[in-house]
Amino acid sequence: MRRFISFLPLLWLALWLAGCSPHGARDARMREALLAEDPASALAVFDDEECASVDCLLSRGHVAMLAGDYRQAQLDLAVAEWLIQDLWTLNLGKEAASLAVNDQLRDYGGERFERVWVNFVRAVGYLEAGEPWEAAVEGRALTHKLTVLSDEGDDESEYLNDPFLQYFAGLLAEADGEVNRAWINYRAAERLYAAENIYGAVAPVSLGEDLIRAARKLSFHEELESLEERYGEAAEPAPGEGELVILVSEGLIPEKYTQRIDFPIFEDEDGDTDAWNLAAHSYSHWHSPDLDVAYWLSIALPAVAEGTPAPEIRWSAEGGGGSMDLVADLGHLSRRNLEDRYGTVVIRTVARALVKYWAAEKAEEKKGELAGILVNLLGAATEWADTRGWASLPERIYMRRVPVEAGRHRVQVGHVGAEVEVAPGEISFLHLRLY
Amino acid sequence: MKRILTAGLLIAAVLIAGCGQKTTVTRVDTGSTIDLSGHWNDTDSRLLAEAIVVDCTAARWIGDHMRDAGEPPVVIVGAIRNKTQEHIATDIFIKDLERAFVAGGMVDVVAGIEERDQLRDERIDQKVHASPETVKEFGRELGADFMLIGVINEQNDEQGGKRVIFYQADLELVNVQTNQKVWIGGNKIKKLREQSRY
Repeated sequence: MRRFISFLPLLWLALWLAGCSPHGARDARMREALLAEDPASALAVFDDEECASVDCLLSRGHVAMLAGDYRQAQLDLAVAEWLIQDLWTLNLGKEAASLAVNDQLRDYGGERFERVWVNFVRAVGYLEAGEPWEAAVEGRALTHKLTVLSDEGDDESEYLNDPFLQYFAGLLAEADGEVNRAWINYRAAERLYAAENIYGAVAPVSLGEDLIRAARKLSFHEELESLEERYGEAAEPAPGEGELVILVSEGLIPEKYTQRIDFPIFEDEDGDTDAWNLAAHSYSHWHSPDLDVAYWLSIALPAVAEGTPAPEIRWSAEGGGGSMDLVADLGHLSRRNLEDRYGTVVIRTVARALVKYWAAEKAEEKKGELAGILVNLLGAATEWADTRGWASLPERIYMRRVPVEAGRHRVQVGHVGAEVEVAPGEISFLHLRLY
Repeated sequence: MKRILTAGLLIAAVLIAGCGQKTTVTRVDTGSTIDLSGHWNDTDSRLLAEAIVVDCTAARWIGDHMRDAGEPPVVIVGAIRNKTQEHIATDIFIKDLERAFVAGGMVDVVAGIEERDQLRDERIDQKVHASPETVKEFGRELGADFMLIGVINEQNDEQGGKRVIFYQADLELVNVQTNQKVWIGGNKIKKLREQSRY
């Protein structure tokens, strides 16, 4: 009994940790409501929670935007951005604890792509709220963040930049009258779209045309010649026409899940438990009645679920319509981001497995077999992969830039439609959400 | 076993310490400089506005105007465009400029577009509700001689935990009658933000 009592703090810790990860259930309920096209109910999911982590703030802010509460949305997303910046400083206590328990004890600072996509979402929120000058601020913030990110390494071999976000920042700059800034963004987008294996989408037709128009406005004659050779002619909008950029966020980003590897390590005939040698043979001895389980090894690694096939999306308005270009695949970006840091995740997981194995061995050595078993079970029970993430993001972004007559237009994409005002000689944006 | 228990309790302590954050609120002098994130704040706005107005009112155009018109120039602060990557409340910067002009006493400052509309509504209201001897008349507004317009730009450099933040406010004073730019100036602020990795 006394031995059991001595384990109570550890059992309490395990139970406490078990209740420490509410994001899975929360995200599932939120996503269910979003798929039912009910953002108000999705927002209500956060009512009972003190939303103080980056993943929670990102999702709540995004869902608030979908529900039309732009003030709350911008507040949450701004706080999430500040928190991400603060979390650049590592909490050594939490880092150490995560090496003994699991990676969810570390503060979640967002995946690389989430840290930059927050500015896309904020910009869309400002556009929807009728504040394009604030959206332009987000465009400049995006450009800066992408510049800093790309300084970390080769942006054509891992996710250290983003072609669509460069393109989008360029569109915002052009709409704000900053053609030279837009040109720089468009050039970066063109270069990055070529690295399709990293970024998961190809350049839309409109990018070449936008480059040509920007080169023409800036009188970059040499570049203009070369661009026209590659992309052909690009017409300017006729007098009395404006331009409309239609953006469609489609689907929900594939969830992260835990890939669990559980296997017993058996004690051999001599009573030795050379864990790593025995692990290799463990499956073949699974049913052997002669061997005792010496240690239950449990490893949990994160993975991103398979996405859905990309649908063809078409837009229509009075007197026009056509197909839209797939410009960003966030499911691909999520998998790519995980792949980029997978080596570190595996090293941490293996190191943690060794720590837990050592703890169980020591417990058994000092306090007997039962102690070893309990520590082993505690270690296995607390071994979870870090599956936190921004769960409200769409799976894909589609886009089309078209010249239209100035005035009010009703645009329909699938069963979703909205009205937009287009001024002559100006660029207007319309964002629609499809689930 | 004792070590394991100790380790378990330590981890729990670390976690609990992380959960129990305490918030405090203290009143501070509104003139004090408090830099938290390194982003644009009230102090940047006030310091830039004061420096710009000192520079602007020390220039030749005031003397020229006094000589030609025989009275102090009337200035209106127009649009200040935010071209930075931060959501700057340009209204606060405009108010700081107006405040610095008024405090300097060298020029007369008139209300901006939004304030003018409010004042005109008030005069309409007075026509109906105020006593005749206190009603203010239409057509007696002071027309601005000069308009101050400008832009705030930002240029940053960042690596690791270091970030250099550079703000530049470029302003121009334009003669409302002739569109002549009588003064061009501005001011700059440079900050270094350092964040440790551990």
